[in-house]
This record gives sequence, C-alpha cells and structure tokens, in this order.
Amino acid sequence: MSVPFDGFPLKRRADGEYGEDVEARASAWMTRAKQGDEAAFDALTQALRERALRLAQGWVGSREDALELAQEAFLKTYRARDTFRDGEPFLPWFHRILRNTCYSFLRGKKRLTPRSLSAHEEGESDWDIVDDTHAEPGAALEQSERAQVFWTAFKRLSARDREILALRHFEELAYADIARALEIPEGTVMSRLFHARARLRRALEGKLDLDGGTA
Amino acid sequence: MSPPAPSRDELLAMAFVDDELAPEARAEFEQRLAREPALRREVSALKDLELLAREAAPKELVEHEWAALAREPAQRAALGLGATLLVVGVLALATYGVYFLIEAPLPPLLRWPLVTVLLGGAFLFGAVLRARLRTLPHDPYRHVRR
Repeated sequence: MSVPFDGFPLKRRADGEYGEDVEARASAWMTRAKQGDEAAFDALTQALRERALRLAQGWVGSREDALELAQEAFLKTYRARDTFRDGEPFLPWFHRILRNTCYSFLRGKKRLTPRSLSAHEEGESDWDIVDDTHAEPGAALEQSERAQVFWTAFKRLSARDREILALRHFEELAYADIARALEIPEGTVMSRLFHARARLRRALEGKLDLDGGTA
Repeated sequence: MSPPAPSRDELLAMAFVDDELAPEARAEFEQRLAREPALRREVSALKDLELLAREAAPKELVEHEWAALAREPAQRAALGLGATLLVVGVLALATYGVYFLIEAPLPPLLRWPLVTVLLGGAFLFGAVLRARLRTLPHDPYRHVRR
C-alpha cells in the first residue's frame, strides 16, 4: 500500500526497528510501569537508551553530557509515569521530555538562544545552539577527519535542523516514524528534512566535495 | 526571508535516496536518472551526505566501550603480553613435539600416524592462509570494524 505525496507515492513499510510495533511495545511497557512494574520500565530503558543517547548528542554535542541527559530524561519519565495517559503513544511523549531536558541543560549553560522566525520556512520558533569549542574532550581521537568536518558543520545548524537530521541520519528512521515522533505530517517531515540538509550542505561547502562528484 | 520551497524533483531525489519511494515511483525515477544528468548529480550529492552522516554518527554504547578499552594502557599491555606468551609457548611446544617425534622411542605405528596428522594440519593451515592472503584485497568487509 502506498500514500501519495505531492503527486508521487511513498512507500509504506512493514514494521521496522522503530515502527508501530516498537511504539506499541513502548506504550505497553510504560503502561505497565505506571502500574508499578519496574521490570517493564527497565525493558523500556534498554530498548530506547541508544536512541535517546544519539539524539541527545545531536543537540548537546558532548557524549558525556548526552549520557547524563538521556539518563535524566528516563528518570523524569519514570517520575512522571502517573501522568502518562493509557493509550497515548509513548515515543512522542518521551521525545518531548528528552528535548526539554536537553534544552534546559543548554539554557543553563547559556548555549541556547532564540532564532529569528524569518529564518525558517514554517514560521515556528526555533533555537540556535552555541557550542563550546571544548565540548568534546577526547572525542577527536575517535573521529576521522571527515567526521570532524561533519560535526563542525552540524553544530552550526539550529536545534530543529539537528533534531530532524539526527532522527533521519543517526536513527535511520523512516519518514512515517519521524512524523510519529515529532507529531507532524509526513509532508512537513520532507520539507524540514530537505531544508535542514540544504543548510548542512551549505555549511560543508568548500570543506568536502558533496556536489555530486567524488567525495 | 523564508527559503524557497523545494521543487518536486528535489523532493523525489531525496525520497529516492532515503528509500521512501513506492516501487512504481522508484522505477519511474530510475528511468529518469538514466537520461537526466542533473538529477543524477543531485542524487549523488545526497548519497555522499548520507555516507558522511553515517560515518560521523555517534557510536553506540558498546562500540564506544570497545574503543575506550582498546585505548587503555592496561588493556593494551595485557593483550600484547598475552599474545607474546602464547606465541612463545606454542613455538616451544612445537619444537618439543618435533624433538619428541624424532628422538622418543615410539613404535613406528604411532610415530608415522602422528607425523602424518601434523603434516596434514600444517598443509591445511598453509592452504587456508594462502587463500586468505590472496582474497584479502578483494574482501568488501576488510575495513569493517566493530
């Protein structure tokens, strides 16, 4: 089955790693955790911690900070378990908690500033993240030169661009799964992703050959 | 000022690279790719970006720990010392084995089967090693690290 988008049909996937099946399992674990089942919450944490870590790292840069923030987000989720409504999809709810946790951290470090509305295509508020140059001690040792160029360009993007690029490129989520996580239509996912990639390509211009030639 | 909206072709190229096109749309797009160089360039640029992002993606927890372990002096020393002791021990045992086969008062019915087994093992090991060395440059997974 396929759905049309702007005149061309998009693929409908069977449940993948982050498909509706994962959403259903995560929601079921959370419902059980709300009823006092700690093992269910452990299972939920195990299933989502890699995803939370990579998303947090996309926002804050430092792996060490991302580890703490992902853990903090799970702790907040557990503390707020009574407010989780039965039947509500878990992943978008958790995504909001993780994003707010990361933004609070960045605000505390004075690394988050509002971005002009006119700079974006949808008129929604967005944030610039000011990165510390010393944010990743030791990380350079693990990264290739190309990866370092990527991260330098990535950190020049707004919080919203980083978010959708991280969901697509680090988490390898399908458009439908990104739409579910961000609670936006698939068409908006495509539009945001297109503009975020365009800005990333511009930020990489002159540093790496990404114009369709050989990199 | 808002950035210009993407064209239909730009969105198609993006959905193609992201493997999001339905089969019929994908087939149609592939036909266009064969005859439109501009479209091929856009697809190629998006694929380059995809590869770069994959290369730069944050490491998974377990990979991070493996990398951290590999950098620890104690771990490196333990691995180096262990490998050295193992090689020395195997060489010493092999030397003693050869000496034992030559000098020990073994009945011929035991000595020659032992020699045959050892020679067979040595030939097999040599053949596998030779095959591996010859095919290594063509192995698509040789640069894959955990």
